[in-house]
Amino acid sequence: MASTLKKIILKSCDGKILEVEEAVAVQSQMIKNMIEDDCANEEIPLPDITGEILSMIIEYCKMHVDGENNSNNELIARDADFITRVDLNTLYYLIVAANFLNVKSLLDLTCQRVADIIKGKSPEEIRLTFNIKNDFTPEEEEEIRKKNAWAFDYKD
Amino acid sequence: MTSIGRRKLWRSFKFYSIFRNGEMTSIGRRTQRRSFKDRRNSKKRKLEKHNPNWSDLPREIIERIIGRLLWVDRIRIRAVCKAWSAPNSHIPAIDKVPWAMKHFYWRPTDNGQMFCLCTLCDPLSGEYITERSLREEEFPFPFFADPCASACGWVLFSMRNIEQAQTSLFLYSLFTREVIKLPELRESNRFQVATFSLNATSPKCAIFALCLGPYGSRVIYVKTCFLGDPSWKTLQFNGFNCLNHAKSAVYANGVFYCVFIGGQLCAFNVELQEWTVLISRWPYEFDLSDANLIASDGDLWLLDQTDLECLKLFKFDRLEMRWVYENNLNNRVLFVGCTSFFVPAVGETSRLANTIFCCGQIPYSARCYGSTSPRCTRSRLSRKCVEATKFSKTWIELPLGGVWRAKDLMYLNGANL
Repeated sequence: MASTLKKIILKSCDGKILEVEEAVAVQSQMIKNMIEDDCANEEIPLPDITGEILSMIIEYCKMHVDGENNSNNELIARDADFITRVDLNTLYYLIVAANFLNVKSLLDLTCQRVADIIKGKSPEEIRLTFNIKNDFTPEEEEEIRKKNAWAFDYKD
Repeated sequence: MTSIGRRKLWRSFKFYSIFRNGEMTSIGRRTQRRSFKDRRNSKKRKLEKHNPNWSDLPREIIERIIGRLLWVDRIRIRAVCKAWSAPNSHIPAIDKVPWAMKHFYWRPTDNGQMFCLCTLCDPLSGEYITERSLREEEFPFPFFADPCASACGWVLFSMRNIEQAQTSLFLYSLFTREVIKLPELRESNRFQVATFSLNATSPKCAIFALCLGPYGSRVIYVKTCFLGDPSWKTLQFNGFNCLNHAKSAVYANGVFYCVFIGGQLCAFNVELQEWTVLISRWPYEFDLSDANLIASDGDLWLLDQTDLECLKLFKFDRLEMRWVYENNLNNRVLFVGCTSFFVPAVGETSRLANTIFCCGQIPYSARCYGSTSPRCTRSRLSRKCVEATKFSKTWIELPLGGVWRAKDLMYLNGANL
């Protein structure tokens, strides 16, 4: 019982300090490893994660810990609700943070979200959506398009 | 032992965070002594935050995202930027459901070119992929060609020249848009069926065609050729009644199988050039007026569609040399066309389990096979598959392992012979 009430202290890169229950914090495989290795007694600095992103991740982990007894469908619905509220820039930082903290379910959720956004879009639309610079030379791009021409002139 | 391991881990973590700090202009240290300037900087960082660079994502995350895309999106994403265009064939594909070929025709234009139209439909996304192009008239094509078989994104078409009562065959790649013309079939006035062998691992491609002799004779012409051959190798065998047409043909493990409407099952071994009648008598009362042979995992199947309300699936028992009625698809989905595909119903397709989708048939609906409940026909995905099945000509297997180009096929086959 005592162990579940134990608090883990996380510190974001902009100095925000968050106290998290251990049961919630161990959703992150990285923190779980640190706790197992007895390295989580002092505050854990998270150099790449802002306070805003960190609190979102903690909100997500809490949701999963609290929802453990709920049905699978309910959890999926909550996940969907959580992820659709996230804008693209936040999504980027969530992915990077989920990858760093190794929260597998969140990483799956965020990557799936990106994939869903990409689905059915042309390369131009993808670039526009994600604000990606086209770093191909016209010749290189032509080569790629020529190779799989059928995939590219799909729209009227 | 463990304590050393732990210390190592902690040290590596510390190193990691310090390294990251260094990279991020020591954010960690600065935030401890926050000054006005720092706050302004952090505001700046916040502004920067609004322009993350998606092409900078670590490789493993990009791959994670690509692994969740359908195949056509995986192709398109390659044209976005360099970071997203790296080869991704090692990432397993999520879509194993074949695409439906809805239209295929070539039509001469006024200025001597060919207008080509080909439409594919991906049942998973419901997306239509239409190719419209103008190409030089490489050889005279009729307006319509019928698909005989499909493999690895290539389709074998037969086209009938009514004036000359001739049928010729050609291979067409839906993904590279290349045409490979096959040698003329001489006895083609009674052309029956054709299929070809091609898999993802080897570009070796053999083509098989079966023609009947003139009316009144009991002759069967079995024709085989490898791509690049100047002519067909023709063998003549004693056949059945001249009205006993061949209905469907498949290739599996070096053998071409062919089924006749009278129920006979024959096999032609390409290497031994041997023709064998495996089943000479059909034990049921009805004719196989509409039947498809299916080769899957070394097994041979027969789907009888004579009675649309009651499809019958048989599995070939090689020991007993007979068809065995199969009352269950074992949680698979069956896409039936000139070439048919069994797809395991897992993940996204799990709701399609035990359903059969037959190309271009009336009524255009999915049919559940066997004993499981019909709930699967009501799912969204099932409706998409039904939509794809409507008026479709054949199913196209996605060349997930890579697309064979005409020169790959011609070179290897030509060099061997």
